[in-house]
Amino acid sequence: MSIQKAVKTLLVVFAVTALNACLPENSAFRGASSQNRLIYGLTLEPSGFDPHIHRSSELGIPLRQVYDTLVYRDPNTKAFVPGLATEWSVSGDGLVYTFKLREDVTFHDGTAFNAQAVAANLDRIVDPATGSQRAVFMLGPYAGCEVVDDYTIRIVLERPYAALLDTLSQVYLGIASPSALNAYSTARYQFHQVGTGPFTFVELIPGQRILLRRNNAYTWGPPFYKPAGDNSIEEIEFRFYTDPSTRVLALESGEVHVMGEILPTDARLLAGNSAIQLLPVNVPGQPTQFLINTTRFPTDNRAVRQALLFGTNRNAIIDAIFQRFSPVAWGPLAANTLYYNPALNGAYSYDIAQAQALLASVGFADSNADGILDINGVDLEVNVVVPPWGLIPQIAELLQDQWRIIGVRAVLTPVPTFPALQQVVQSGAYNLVAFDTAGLDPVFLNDFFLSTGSLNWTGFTSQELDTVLTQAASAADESTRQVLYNRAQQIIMEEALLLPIRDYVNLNASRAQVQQLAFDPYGWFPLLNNAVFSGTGS
Amino acid sequence: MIMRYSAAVVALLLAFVVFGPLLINHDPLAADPANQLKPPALSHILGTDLLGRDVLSRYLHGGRHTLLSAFGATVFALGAGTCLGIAAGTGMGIAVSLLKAVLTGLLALPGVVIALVVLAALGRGVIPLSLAIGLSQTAPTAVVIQAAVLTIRAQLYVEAAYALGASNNYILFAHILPNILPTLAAYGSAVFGYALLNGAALTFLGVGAAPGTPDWGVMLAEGRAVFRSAPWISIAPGLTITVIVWAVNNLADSLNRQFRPDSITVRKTRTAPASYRA
Amino acid sequence: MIRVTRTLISSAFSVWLATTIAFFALRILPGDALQAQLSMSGASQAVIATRRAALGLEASSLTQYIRYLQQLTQGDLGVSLVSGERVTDALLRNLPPTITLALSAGTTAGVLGIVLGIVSASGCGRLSATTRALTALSLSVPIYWSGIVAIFLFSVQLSWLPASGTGSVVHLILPVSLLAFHTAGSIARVAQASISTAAQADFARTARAKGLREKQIIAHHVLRVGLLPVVSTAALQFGFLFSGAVVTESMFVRPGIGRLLLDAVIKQDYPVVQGVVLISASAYALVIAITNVLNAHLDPRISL
Repeated sequence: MSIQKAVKTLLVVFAVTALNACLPENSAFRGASSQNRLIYGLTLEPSGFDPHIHRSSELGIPLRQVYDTLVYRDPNTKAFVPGLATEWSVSGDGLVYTFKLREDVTFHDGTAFNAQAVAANLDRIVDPATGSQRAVFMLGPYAGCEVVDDYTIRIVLERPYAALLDTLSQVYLGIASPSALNAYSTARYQFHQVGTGPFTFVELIPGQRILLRRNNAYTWGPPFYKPAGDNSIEEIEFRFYTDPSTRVLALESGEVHVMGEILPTDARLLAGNSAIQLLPVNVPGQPTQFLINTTRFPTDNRAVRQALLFGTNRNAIIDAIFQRFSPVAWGPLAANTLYYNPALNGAYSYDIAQAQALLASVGFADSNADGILDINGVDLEVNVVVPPWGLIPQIAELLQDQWRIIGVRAVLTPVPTFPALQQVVQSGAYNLVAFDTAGLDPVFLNDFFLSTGSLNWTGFTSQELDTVLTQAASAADESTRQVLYNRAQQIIMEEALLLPIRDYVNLNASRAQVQQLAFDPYGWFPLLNNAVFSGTGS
Repeated sequence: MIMRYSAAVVALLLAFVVFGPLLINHDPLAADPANQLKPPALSHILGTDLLGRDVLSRYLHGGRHTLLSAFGATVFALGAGTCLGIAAGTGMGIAVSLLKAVLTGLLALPGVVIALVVLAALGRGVIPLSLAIGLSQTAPTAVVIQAAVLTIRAQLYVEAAYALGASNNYILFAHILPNILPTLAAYGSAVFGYALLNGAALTFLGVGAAPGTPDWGVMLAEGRAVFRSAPWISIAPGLTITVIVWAVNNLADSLNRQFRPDSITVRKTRTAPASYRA
Repeated sequence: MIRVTRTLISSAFSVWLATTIAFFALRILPGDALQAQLSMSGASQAVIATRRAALGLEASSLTQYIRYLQQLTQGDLGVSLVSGERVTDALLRNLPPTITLALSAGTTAGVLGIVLGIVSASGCGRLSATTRALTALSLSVPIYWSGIVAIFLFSVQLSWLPASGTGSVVHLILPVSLLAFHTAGSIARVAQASISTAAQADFARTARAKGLREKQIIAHHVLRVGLLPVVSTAALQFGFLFSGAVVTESMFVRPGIGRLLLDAVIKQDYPVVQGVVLISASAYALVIAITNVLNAHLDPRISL
């Protein structure tokens, strides 16, 4: 075979490949009107998009528009407002919730919405064969449901659970059409989702895009949803931008209209750009924090833990790494979480002298003049487990530097994945580990701070804390819960069980033409029903 | 002249990296967040990074860790790869087929998987990183060497040597090994480059150097995240890597020519091979 | 016929070996995706154990391996631990875009690399020096860094090309150029080295002595021999293309096998990783087999 033939062959292969690329890819919606089509940038690629099964908050961003929930939370007051349920009541013992449902709702596939549909959804979530990774755990002590009549349903619990309404207002408990659920297998349903929300689910191509289209028959939204107008969004296309550096570039070039989780340094750059507006959203839940192991030297000593907190300059961290876009966190809850204890504000403010005094009071001194304190010949060394997400490595480096001033050596253990993080935790070879979850109702604290909590990585056990948290999770009265949670937060911070750094702020940004873009009280999920393009969309 | 030039460049860089830290008075680990992301100035010749650390001192300290890992990986890959490649190229029969099949199997494993597993098993540090990257580059090296060996064995002079009764060992050491050196040098410099870059990629994923270690890979990753606000952070390590790889390549080129004293470039065949360009 | 059979057996063996190594190597890593997802939701150890047992993950590695082989013979590649989707479906969906990207970039890189190598070896003064510099750049600049610069330059500043997505040839230009440029360097280096070597071989000297023009010697004789190691290297570049595809796919927001693999490795979603390894191992075996055939064809002195 001569060289000419080889070259010709190569060219043919090349041409074939190029042609292949020219062929219209999967679905040809390029022809559809680009007017009033919003392009939204997602940042994480969850491996699954079934709200009943998968756990990522990223899936909630598109699906919040596809599904209605029984109740909604008003974005301003956080109060529960009617969604698919018009009214509800709780029995005296807190075990039975009765919901009256709307009668004018239809699913996107035309089937009617009724109590049987709700029951079918709940059954699916708790069915072990479904393999739910989040929704079933959010239901807590759920025992079952009863269909009283076509538009009345009762949910029965094994014991009182104050967070039930909160769970029912989240997209993971969105109500899907039973006919669609039956028509597809558990794994295939996510590609053919049918709900009752303001947008219909058109297609999902994993790793590529999600397409939604406005539901023109939608008249049953919560009170804060406005009816569609001329400038409302007709279609929404979600694309994935997992590489943080490319996010702001996509926004600037006009390729996307809305982008989430912009890097703080890039957000600072956008301040001068009049074509783009920054929309920071505080996310309730746990702040970015380090849980402290109370069962291992040297953090088994409360004075040492407190010294670490006093020796941390949180303002410097927020200035440098978060460009002042986040507020300082003072306790185990972010400030906009329900039942936050404002008395904690200012606790453990940066005070080097106090930190040094505490360490000296338990016998640490620098006996060999190497800059690191020691006791009985053992250096004051803490092991910090550092996952790669959320700018935590940079925080850990600053902590390392700050703690050198008070004579503490921090050894950083980077872990590349959550399973690897878990392994280190299970081996017990850590003093601090960075981990947090989001949520509006602080019932998630039980996983972390109950003696038997599955995520009790502090190793702290206290009867009082156990009692307080258990009661708070089941108390029906809000003021009772406030008192109980105040006490819980107080105990946690008195014992210095964690090092809070900052409240999580999702740095969203959008092109200036996108108006009335609001986020729901959970912080992550946009409410796109009301969003409009001002002027001509681009 | 090119050879002297590139050798000088490499030597200068190495000296800079080895002795440089003694000249700098900034602590590479000292954070000064108030002074973050400052452009190059007299007080900080290469500017400061996100945490206010002096980029120049981190750059100078970083060279050691990065170069050592890359060098270790290259040595491992070339050593193991050459042995396997020669074995595959000179053997006969079933053993060779088996070896070839094993090589193809190893090649098929994506490097990411190999590296992650090795690092998960051995932890962090220069040796595990060298091993991980070296292992993932062994099979490709072996295949290249095998091809080169096959080509050499097919040459007339090797046939002649066999005919003269030379033993396999003699042919191996007298003919095959010297003649694969150019290919080895050429591919080896490419492997060094990969090792340098892959080390940075693994650090990116969180399994390479510990966060905060002055290391060129770490600096490249950090610099990339703040590329818009502070492009100077990536420039020093990126440029150095480029220059080092270029210099190593040139050295390899010159070595190539050294081993073939009658080596003349294709175009100049008409002239007598009097003086070769050095 | 014997040759073909031997090649087939050899390929099958390689694929089996790669898959087996991957299988057991993955199980050295502690934990798995299912455990991770459930713990993050606060599930208790008992629940996690039950769920894992239902999927057969609690058995010993050897038992799982045998079961995996059995399922393979029935064409069942298993189910993703995170999404529950069949691995076969995930692969079928992600394979075409990566093939498009890899083939385009691979052929471009091959052509580019060979051209660069020939020019570098020819010793034409400045031109040769330029190509050598380009080759060095290709090998030394990290792809994830030059990608950002390219996006910034061509997409944000000049607005010539789209920064992401799929749908037309235009979307391919930037990722393919980037990947091809960085893959070409290695090919160019080996091409240059082996062409210079071949140019001094005896047969070349004979041809010159016979009075043939230099261009003819190069085109008809030298290149044919000099390009042999290049063919092997070019084939090997599929490995680099694959890892480059991971970066390119995530930077330019394109779906593909590379991204699928990286995600699955990070999340420790074993069935997906094994599925991708199986596919890529088969692809490599195919490429190597074709390379061997090509080699034998190009150089009659080499026998399979």
